[in-house]
This record gives sequence, C-alpha cells and structure tokens, in this order.
Amino acid sequence: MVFAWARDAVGSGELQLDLPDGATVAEVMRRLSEDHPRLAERSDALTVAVNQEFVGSEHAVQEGDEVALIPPISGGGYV
Amino acid sequence: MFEISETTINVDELHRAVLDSGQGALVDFFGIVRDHARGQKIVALEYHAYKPMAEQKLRQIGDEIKERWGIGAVAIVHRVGNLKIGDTAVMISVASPHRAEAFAACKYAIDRIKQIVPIWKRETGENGVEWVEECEVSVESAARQESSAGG
Repeated sequence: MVFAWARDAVGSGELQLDLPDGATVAEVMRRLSEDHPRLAERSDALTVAVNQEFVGSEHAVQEGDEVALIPPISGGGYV
Repeated sequence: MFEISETTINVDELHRAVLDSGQGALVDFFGIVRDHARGQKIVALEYHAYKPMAEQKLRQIGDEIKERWGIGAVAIVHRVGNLKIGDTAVMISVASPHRAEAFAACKYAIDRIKQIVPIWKRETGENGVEWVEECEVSVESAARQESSAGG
C-alpha cells in the first residue's frame, strides 16, 4: 500500500508484487524503484511498515504480507 | 477510544469515554487547522490516513501512557477528509485523579502522534497543492516506548 506523494508517484494506492522467497524490504524497495522512477528519486525518505508495524530494510517479507510505504508524516494539526 | 474519523469530532463523546467519578482532572488538547503555514495562506486542507495502522498506533500511545503514568483514561480522535480553517484536526482527552499527570500525558500524546501515526496532510495554499512532510518515521522511535526509556 502506498500513501501521500509516494502514491502519486506510483499512480496507485495498492499493488501486488511477485517476489522470491525470503525477499527483504530492501528488495521490495529496489523493485518498486526500478518500476517507478519518481518513487526512486525520493525513496530514502520512506519508512516501510509490514502488517502495520514499522520494520527495517533487512526485514524478510512473507507471501500475503501487507507492505506499506510511509512517507514523512504530518498529522496532529499545526501545533 | 482511539479513532480515525471522517466526521466532525464530538467533544462530549471523548469526555464520556474518559470521565468517571474517580477523576479529579480532565485535560483536553485540540489541534486546529490554521490559516497560514510555512509563510503562505492556506486555502484548503485534506487529511489522509493509513486507517487501521493509524488507529493501532493511537492505541499504542494509550498503552505507553498507561505504562508511564498509570493513566488508562485516554481518548484520541484524529480527523481525515476535507477540513476548513478553524476545524479540529485532532482531539486528545486525558483524565486522572490529579492534574500533573494529566497535563504531562496529554502533551506526550500529541508529541507521539507527530512521531509515529501514519497520517498526512495535503494542503492547498496560495502557492499550489502539496503533501506536507513533517516527520520521517524511525523504526526505533516507533517501537513501543517503555517508561524506563525516559522522556
């Protein structure tokens, strides 16, 4: 799942990826960056969540996992 | 009560969620949509959330407050959708027997919302439309904070 400007860069809020067994978050990012150059330009600013928990780039994804690209957040009003 | 809401925040509902006869202090925080930001006039604003994760992170903040101050009476509601200047974007209510913990917990809640809850604002200002970026989430800071971590 992709949010905010990253969603605009990918052109969709949800997409499916076929990945080899044991693929890491870093590999997911590499694949998405190859397919979406506008995402690649700013991919350093993204944090990744798997099944709604933030994880590091070495985290291995499993079949059926929900992977979310989280750009810098801006909730909480203007305070 | 930890919710992402598409409709106007109901103040009484949060108060009902946190008040009981053992509470002596009730502290509310309101985050309001302002008419200017980063040197420009704001015309319109939308909030977007990764709703299930955002609600789960709001609950995590409630758990952290319970761990740190022993306060279970916390309610947080954050709006999504189109908001106008002057609308409430987020409301936090904390009730406790004494005032000091309630003030501290309320401040902690808004600070944590800005660190770990996946919500984004898309502003329309005089200079165009943009996704506002305020805080890059770090995996370490997003992990559940135990009271020994300080702060």
